[in-house]
Amino acid sequence: MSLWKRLEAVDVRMIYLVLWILVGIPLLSPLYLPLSISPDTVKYHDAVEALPAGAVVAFGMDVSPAGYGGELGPQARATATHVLRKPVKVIFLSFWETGAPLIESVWKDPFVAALMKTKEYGKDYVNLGWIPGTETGMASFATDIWKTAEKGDYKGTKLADLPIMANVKTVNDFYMLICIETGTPGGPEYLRQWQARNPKLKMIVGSLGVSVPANMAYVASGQYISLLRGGRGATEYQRLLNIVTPADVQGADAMTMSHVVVLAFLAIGNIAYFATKKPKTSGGKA
Amino acid sequence: MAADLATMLGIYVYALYALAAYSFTYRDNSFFKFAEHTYVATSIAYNAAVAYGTIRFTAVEPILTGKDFTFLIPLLVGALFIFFFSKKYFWLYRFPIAVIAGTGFGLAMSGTISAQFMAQILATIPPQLKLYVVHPTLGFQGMDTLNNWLIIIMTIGTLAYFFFSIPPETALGKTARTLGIVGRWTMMIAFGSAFGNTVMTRMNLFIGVYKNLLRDWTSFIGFTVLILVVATLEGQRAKKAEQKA
Repeated sequence: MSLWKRLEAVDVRMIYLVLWILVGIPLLSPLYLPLSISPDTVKYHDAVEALPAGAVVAFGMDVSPAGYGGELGPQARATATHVLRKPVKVIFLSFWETGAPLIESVWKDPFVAALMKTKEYGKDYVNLGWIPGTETGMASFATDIWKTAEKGDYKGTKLADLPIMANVKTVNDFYMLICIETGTPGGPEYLRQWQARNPKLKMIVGSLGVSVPANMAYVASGQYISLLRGGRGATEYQRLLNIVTPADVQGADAMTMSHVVVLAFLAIGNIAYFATKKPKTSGGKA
Repeated sequence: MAADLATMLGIYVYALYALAAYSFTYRDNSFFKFAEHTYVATSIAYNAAVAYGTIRFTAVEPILTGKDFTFLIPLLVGALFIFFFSKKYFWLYRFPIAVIAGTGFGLAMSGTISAQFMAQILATIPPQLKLYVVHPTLGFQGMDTLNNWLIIIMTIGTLAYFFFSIPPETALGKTARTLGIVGRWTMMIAFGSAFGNTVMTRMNLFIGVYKNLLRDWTSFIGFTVLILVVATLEGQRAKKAEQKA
């Protein structure tokens, strides 16, 4: 049996084992592999950087725990750090019931927590928690925030007791929407229900890698200012903000290593396929 | 001390469930099944609890306090879902479905036309799509110009691929077929990109879990060995049973 034939017949579990070993190396000891920063991440960064003082920003944490653990958590933490550095008002909310508890997880990030000490809850930022109803809830929220969030913030404090909400009645009062999304409802639903009502609303979106191709159409059309692309986008953004911890370096190295492994397997698989491919026989069935 | 114990217990539970889930890559086993069933049960329980809380606050409390009796209507319509289990009155179950589907479609369509249909079409047509991109300070942008031209060519190509109204033997039909080849390549590139991004997402999920597993070596190695031994024994038992049968 030739080498290529043997490679084609290799037990799939061996591939998993190789992946576990190679991805594990940088997680044990960082390799400091180079990482270029994509123009989309720069645009995302610049959009937050350009926020005018006093602007009201909606921060949609529309995520699932699985999405948060892998790619969206670092995106959300980096974005929250950047937004809280600016003199703006931030309204955290989620249209995913699983996303609301994760807002507090974002707040526990050391960089975010340090910035929050300089801000006042209810005046500079607020957490409205979970807004039920998915897209219907989004539509209702867009037209009447006070009625839709009648229950108050995530601790039950009425909106009337939160100074930040005094002049925030509809989606027209938002300057920017930051959407960290796992899926539906997410960016496209915000476009339909929020941006369709307030065409001036600026949108930036952080999405899972799997959703990047679908979301890129909205960047090309100018409906999103930019898009943070999965875990890699999060790492690039952290580097732009200079908030990289050793654990982040290890994660980025592991990510690069995993991509190298996948590309190597893709190359080997394709070479083996073409090297062992039988030439076409003419004349149909024998 | 209690907090430390809780943290340690959390790490052990996390490690056990993560490894149990990944053990499927080795072979199906009872650890994987346990993790799978627990995950489904926990998700359903969480969602049920959240839904109960929402309905109680949004609809039941306003009725009980006499604040708003109109919530009786959605509650009654929602209650019709129970007839899913009745052969005789199954038709009643269609009412809440019709309300949900109707509201959903109506709401989505109103925004879709402007936000997704028109905006996406306009984005592929000059002058919104610039055929010659010049930055105010950086000058001519070759890559952006090329990108915009590709958007036009690939959009037309993909549309041509799905255009079946012209007989293929005519000159127009042949042109559409040629453009359709461009469309086919466009779609293949798009599907390839989507697949690549999916792999990246799965890898990031894996790395996130792996990082957490490495927080405690003992549980990582201990549970891995335990699961592999059990899965191997189960595999051997299943093989023997198959041979006997």
